[in-house]
Amino acid sequence: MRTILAAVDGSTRAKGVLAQAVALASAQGAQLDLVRAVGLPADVPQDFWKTTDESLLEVLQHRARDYLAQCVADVPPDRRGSTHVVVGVPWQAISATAEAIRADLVVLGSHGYSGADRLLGTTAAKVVNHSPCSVLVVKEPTPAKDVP
Amino acid sequence: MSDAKPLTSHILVAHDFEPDADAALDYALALAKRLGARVTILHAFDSPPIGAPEVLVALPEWLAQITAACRASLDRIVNRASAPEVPVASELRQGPAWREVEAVAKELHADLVVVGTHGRKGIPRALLGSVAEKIVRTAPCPVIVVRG
Repeated sequence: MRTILAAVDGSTRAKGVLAQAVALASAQGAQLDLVRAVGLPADVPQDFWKTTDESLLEVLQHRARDYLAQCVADVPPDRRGSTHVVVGVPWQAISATAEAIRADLVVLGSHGYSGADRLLGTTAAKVVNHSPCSVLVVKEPTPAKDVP
Repeated sequence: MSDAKPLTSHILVAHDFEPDADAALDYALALAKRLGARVTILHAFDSPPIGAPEVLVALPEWLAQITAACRASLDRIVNRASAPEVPVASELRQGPAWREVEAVAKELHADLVVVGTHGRKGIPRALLGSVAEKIVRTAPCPVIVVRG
């Protein structure tokens, strides 16, 4: 049984990533696992801890699990694998999860800005360099004009 | 996902005549068979560096020899790759691989690029940076980096 790991980050791009992952999982008869990395944002309001009993990290993990549950709805039932919420830097979380579940393929989005630099997101670049397996980088649909 | 239109119908494989590229080609062929897609194998060779005046004179002849040698190697690969289920074509281009992959993917409307990469891990791999990463940055469509 082959295993594909799709990294979804809650952005609008994630839909395209998920669509590609589902298409490949269906074509290859693979199990599709989903991962979302959770990290503490740099700009947490200082009084955040007063607003809830849960720690911020717990809130974020909770929301990530809810988000993955929504994503799973788009995966055909016979292709569904596990979902993983991992605390950490995204590229490390994705690579580590790929290693842990012995994924055959990781699917994730590039940042795909099509301006002059055409930057590859640092997460995608690092996963390409550090993942133990093959990596599919899905581009964002190219806008008609190169306007950032 | 209820998309009726297949996401992938034309796969472009970048082949540099190295063993790592064979893994990418095998991956692409297997995927094409599953998806009912066709495959184009691209080899790009860079022009030889020009360092002395006499080289300029010899250049057209060299270029013809290089082109013929590349053509022969590419034809061998296409013959080996040919399978009844998957139509396989080839493209031979002169220029940096990443630029030619981008150009050919656009020209031929490829919707997936497959490239190989060295199986090295960690820092040596990261430092190698690699053509594969550059292809991921510039290609107009999703890219699978196949770990050899």
